[in-house]
Amino acid sequence: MSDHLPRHVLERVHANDPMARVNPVAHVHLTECDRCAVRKRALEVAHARYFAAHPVDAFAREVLARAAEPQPALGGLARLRRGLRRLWPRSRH
Amino acid sequence: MNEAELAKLYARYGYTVFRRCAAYLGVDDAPAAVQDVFVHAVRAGGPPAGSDPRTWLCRVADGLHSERASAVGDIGPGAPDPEASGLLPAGTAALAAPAAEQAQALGREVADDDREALLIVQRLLQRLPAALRRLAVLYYLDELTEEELARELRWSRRTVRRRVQGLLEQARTLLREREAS
Repeated sequence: MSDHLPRHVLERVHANDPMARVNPVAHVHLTECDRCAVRKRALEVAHARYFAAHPVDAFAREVLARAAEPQPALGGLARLRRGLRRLWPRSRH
Repeated sequence: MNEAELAKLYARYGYTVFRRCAAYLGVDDAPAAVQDVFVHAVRAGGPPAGSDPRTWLCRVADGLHSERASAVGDIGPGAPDPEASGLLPAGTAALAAPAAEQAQALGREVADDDREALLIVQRLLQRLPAALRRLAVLYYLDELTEEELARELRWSRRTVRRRVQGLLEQARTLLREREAS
């Protein structure tokens, strides 16, 4: 197992994720490890490129408009699956 | 969920969801899938209280893909190549690298950017049964440990180990085939 930070941790650090269970050691590692720093920079560039192409404000307006459209009624199986998901919430990573 | 809350959620996790959708569908179809995920989030009133929003959104993306795949009898992503989009970080594509590097790139320690991971996952997803697609995404894209995979997928550590081995074998076969062609 590598000591480097896995991608989901890098993403959480980059997003300043308030839910992140990022070990303080990970932050120290990031300041000392060139490889992880390079990956984080690549993530930042990709992130910026993505949001330049899909800006937050326009996205939020479109999503809210779509969410306001009437939904087709759920079938029996879909209702059952939704209920089961609520009964058994899963762990996080 | 109001516009400000949605904007905040999207600004924080939008790219993560995009990358995941790109793994399943290819980068061309991913933006629409990202919208689907956030529409679902709005309709659900946002991530459940006390939950981890990133994990929740990723599960929504996984679930929507799984529903879509079973609805259309899909066997994998349409998979336009992420290299062409310019939306992903620059780097050497794993599958275009020399054979030794290709083999190395299958290990998580050296699969060092999104593009490599996405290429591997996309090509793997085309040949994996539905049950293993999520494993491939969690293993290659999120780089979860064996223990985290077991917790997320609710499999035993032994099952995770066995299925990851199977996944690596599929990936090696894929690379050998590409090399031969």
